[in-house]
Amino acid sequence: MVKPMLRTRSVKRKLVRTPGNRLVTHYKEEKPGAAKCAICKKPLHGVPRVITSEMRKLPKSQRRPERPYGGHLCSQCARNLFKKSVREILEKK
Amino acid sequence: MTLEIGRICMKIAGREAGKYCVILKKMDDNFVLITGPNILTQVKRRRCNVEHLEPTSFTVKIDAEASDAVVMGAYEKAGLLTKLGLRKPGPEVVKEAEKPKKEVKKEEKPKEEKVEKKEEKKPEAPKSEEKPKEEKKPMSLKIKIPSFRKKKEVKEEKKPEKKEEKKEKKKPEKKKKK
Repeated sequence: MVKPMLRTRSVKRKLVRTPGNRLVTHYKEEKPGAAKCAICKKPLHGVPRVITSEMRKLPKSQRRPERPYGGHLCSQCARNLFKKSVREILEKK
Repeated sequence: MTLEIGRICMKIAGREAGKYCVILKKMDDNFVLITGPNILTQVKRRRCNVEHLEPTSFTVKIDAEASDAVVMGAYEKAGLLTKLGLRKPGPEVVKEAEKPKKEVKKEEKPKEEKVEKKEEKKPEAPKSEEKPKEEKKPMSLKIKIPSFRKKKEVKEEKKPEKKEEKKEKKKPEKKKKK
């Protein structure tokens, strides 16, 4: 019997033949889905697909791009935001 | 709005995105020299792609390739510190920025390493005489290889014997059950 946490069918399994000629099921770790841009919903670059506990072990600079809104917006959407802030807000003053 | 000298821009891409900078010089069709300055807006003095800049309506009166201290004064004269919401850095920060600390240390280290390398080269010459001895080692390896082959042959002979024994054992058991 395996661990109760592994008994859901959503966990990917793989049959492996051992050197002793037995068939054994290997359970794969679940990966979270890719991080997406909050505006355009495209998958983000530079954000690794690992569990949150693994993410904690990474250095902060490897968790997301080092740009304002990095890890939340894609580079194109962030670029448009900065352009807007310059054109609209500054020129009203 | 054009990207002429003294135009204040916002950086759009990279880690300095969302911060203001001043254009100092046009280097190329695609590139421009900019500075924050670093003390004021955290944008380093560097080359920048034109596509990564968004020009604002503000300008500052400066010469081409003006120093950071001059640019700071020009900001104050134009009254842009309040308009852009920038904080003027304290006198201590300005003094630290002017000191060239790291350049002196970098010059000392490589000189020591070069002296050590020269000393290492002399003992290497006798090593070249020893190298032919090392080349002989692969010859000794070749002798070992046939010994491995012998072992494999021995194993192959044993396996078929075991299987025969198992078959013999199993057959009598079945007969007993029947």
